[in-house]
Amino acid sequence: MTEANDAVVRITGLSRRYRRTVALDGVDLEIPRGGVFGLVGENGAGKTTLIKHILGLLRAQSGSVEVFGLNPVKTPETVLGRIGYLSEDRDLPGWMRIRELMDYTAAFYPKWDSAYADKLREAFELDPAARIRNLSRGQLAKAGLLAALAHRPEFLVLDEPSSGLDVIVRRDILAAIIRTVADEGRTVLFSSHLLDEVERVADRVAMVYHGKIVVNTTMDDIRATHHRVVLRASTAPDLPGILSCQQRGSEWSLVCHGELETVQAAIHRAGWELVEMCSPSLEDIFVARAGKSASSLEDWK
Amino acid sequence: MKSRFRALLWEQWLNSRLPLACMGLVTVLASLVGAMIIDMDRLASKEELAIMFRLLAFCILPIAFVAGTVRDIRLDFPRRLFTLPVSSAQLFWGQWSFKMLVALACGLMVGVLQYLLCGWSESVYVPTLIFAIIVSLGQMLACFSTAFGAMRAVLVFILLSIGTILLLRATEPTSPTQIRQTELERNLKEIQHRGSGSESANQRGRGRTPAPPPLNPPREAEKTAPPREQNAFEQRHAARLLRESQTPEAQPPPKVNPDLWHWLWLAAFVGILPGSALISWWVTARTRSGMLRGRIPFLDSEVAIGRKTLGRFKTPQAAQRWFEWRNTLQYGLWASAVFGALAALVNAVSRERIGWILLFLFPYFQIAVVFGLGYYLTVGTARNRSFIFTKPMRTAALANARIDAGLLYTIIITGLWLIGILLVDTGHEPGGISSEIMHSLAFLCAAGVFSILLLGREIIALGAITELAILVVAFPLGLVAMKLGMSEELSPEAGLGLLFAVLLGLWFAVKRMKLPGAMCVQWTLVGTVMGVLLGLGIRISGTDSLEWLLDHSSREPIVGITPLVLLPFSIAAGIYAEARARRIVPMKFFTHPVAILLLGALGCTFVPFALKEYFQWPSDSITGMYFLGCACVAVFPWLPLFTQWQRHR
Repeated sequence: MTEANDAVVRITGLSRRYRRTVALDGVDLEIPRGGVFGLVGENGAGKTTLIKHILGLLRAQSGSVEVFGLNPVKTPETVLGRIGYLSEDRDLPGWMRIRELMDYTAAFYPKWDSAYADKLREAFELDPAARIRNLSRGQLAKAGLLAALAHRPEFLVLDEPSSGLDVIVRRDILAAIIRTVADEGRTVLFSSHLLDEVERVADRVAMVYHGKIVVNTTMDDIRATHHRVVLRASTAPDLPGILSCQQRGSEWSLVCHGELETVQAAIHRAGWELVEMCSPSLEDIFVARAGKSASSLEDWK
Repeated sequence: MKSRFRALLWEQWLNSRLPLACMGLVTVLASLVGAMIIDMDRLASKEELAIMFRLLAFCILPIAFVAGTVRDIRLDFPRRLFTLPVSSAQLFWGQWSFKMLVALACGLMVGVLQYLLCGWSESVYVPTLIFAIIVSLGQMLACFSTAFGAMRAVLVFILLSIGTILLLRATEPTSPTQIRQTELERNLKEIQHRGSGSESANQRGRGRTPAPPPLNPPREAEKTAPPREQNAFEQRHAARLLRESQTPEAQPPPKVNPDLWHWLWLAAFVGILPGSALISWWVTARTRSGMLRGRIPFLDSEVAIGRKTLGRFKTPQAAQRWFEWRNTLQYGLWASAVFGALAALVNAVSRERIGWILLFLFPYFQIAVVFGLGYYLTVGTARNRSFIFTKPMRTAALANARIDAGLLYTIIITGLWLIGILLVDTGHEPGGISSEIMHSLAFLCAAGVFSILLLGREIIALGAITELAILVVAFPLGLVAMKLGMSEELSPEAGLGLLFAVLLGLWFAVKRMKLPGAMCVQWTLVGTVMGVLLGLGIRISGTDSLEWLLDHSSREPIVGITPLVLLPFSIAAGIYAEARARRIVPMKFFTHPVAILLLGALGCTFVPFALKEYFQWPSDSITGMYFLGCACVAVFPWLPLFTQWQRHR
């Protein structure tokens, strides 16, 4: 099997425990080459821990992690040379200036594109003389993104890239991601709890819940198998695959999981009045699924 | 609050009360230690006590205050104050007044304590004034830090300190040569006298210090003891003093009237006040409105950037070396430079008579620096971990870059020390401290901090806390026990109680702050008990077999043994617990012994100096270089492994 046909990331049975807290619990995940892979989940679900394993910053306590077919702990220099990473913490050294950051980072990546870096810097409106510690939160994210993008990585890892940022900066970051994806064969791992962003750019989504991957499919598949239904009924409707149900006066708003025909047939049989039927947003789906009790976790799969 | 000005003062008081309280505690501790380390048999005069006390105050208090008010590297009052609806003038006066009040209060505190101990004399008001100058310089440093950024501020502080030293030395009425000649003659007489009579361990070790006739009558055992021959150490020391005393040296006449010299001190202090006021005003105005940023182009960052713009690094290693230097090592350099400047200042002020006191004080400085630096770097590394370790570079290459930068640091810091020594006393032996000791200090400063930067910061920070606790509690406590006439067997028990209490408090503090390594401190308590028990066992079992344990004059060395015995056991117990709690990879175990060795070397080199004298080790240089050299060499092979552990936890 050639690398070109292989997944960028292959994780098997990965578990991680911080003393009594289980951060990852037997995670199996494959990130295919090309496209944007969204990693969503609530705060503390285990997204960052998963990313740290991909980068080799954490050693797998059990299970295995392969990136480009290699173990990132054993060969970090090879793996990391092909990865661009934007940290959630924006842990750039505060004493550096933007120009110094660019020069410093360029030394590590033979494929560093200076012209592209300057172009990004101008697009992000970053002053080369500015110290990192004096940057605003949005500028800090842009500086980190510049360092992560300018060597045109095969695999771009963005850990909560737009957390706490305003709409303008988020738009810039998303545009940069789209540009990266436009390059052939590049892969983006986009971790966020801002689901509308993920929905906008991701081709595939994995949902992390309490250290487990509970959903791992394409956005098209999610949209095809999840339905928002608004019904008018006297009692709470009981549809197959129902994930959430909210009452608004005499109307009931439901999020269902299953084939469209199955849901429609059930509504017809029960005699409820169908007010509206559409595709729910990723946020609706996540909230509906997160609303499920932990005991029904297995039903998610 | 009735006025905004008072509200501003109150605000600053709230933000500074902890460091101020710490200063008060340190002052009391310093006075106690200063009182205890004087062997009552050789206490010449209250003046000597005052000198010792002022040295302690000089060295510890400014550091405590400046370090205690550090916020986010820069030193200034909270930026939140700039958002208050008050004028810039009120902000300026609030800031300046508070800092000057603190400076004056510090000076007053030192003066009052000295007055209570020694009465009113020149040795009271002169050091008080000098201390006030130092504190004021510290305030200027704080203001400069805000105006220029921390690094340039430190440079300015060093230059100011050196300038002050040189100015005062140039105008001092009595030449150092004259003082040295007198001291040498007195020391020579003393040693010749001791060669034919009784002596104490302290007198043996402090041959350079003038030893007056004892205040207390000699003990019966000493009266009946036969005259003892000089040992090798004493013979060498006497020969050296003889050589030095025979060197013909000119005795230049006093340059100025002594009264005038004292007025110069006062003038220096008075001169600092407007300087600090000016800078405070500048800081306030600049921070608030940025009005000076655009008008004085050389202060803005553009020129600096134009000068420092870097080209592409040729290799990743070069980039990483540069990063290591800028990220951590330069802080060590600046910290050591400030530290060295203060030590040089103290040395210049104290002159010949009490160089050994500086030697005694040095570990306290060193530990404070080590702890502060270790803690700072622990925070810094944790913050930048993913930035550093996601670089496509082999782990060994990362470690090598740090070693390269560390070597550069070592070379620079050693050179800086030597230059400082030359500046303090051009053309002569450095100050009142022998050259080998100064070289030892330089080596220790360089190698110690260098090694610390190579090792795990959290380990060093915790180890330093432990050692500090041992030093601060056990050693002075033993001396207290000596002074109170307690038997040798009682002092460690007393030390055990207090040391245990300190460590227990430390454990709670660490646990509350949620710092890594709480388990380490917790188990260090167990280790401490083990250490004390072992020390007791050694002492009790050795009483019959080791003659020196029965020697009354060797009590101090015995006390000195206790921390040495405690140290490795307590830290080892902590390491074991830490390893267990964290489920760490085995390679971490290899770095801990190095940390123990390093910390032990620090303790060995300086803490029980009397112990070294007992064993008649030839010089501090050899001792320090032996331990620290071994530690440094031992660090290198393990550094890649430790970096590996840091990278892939």
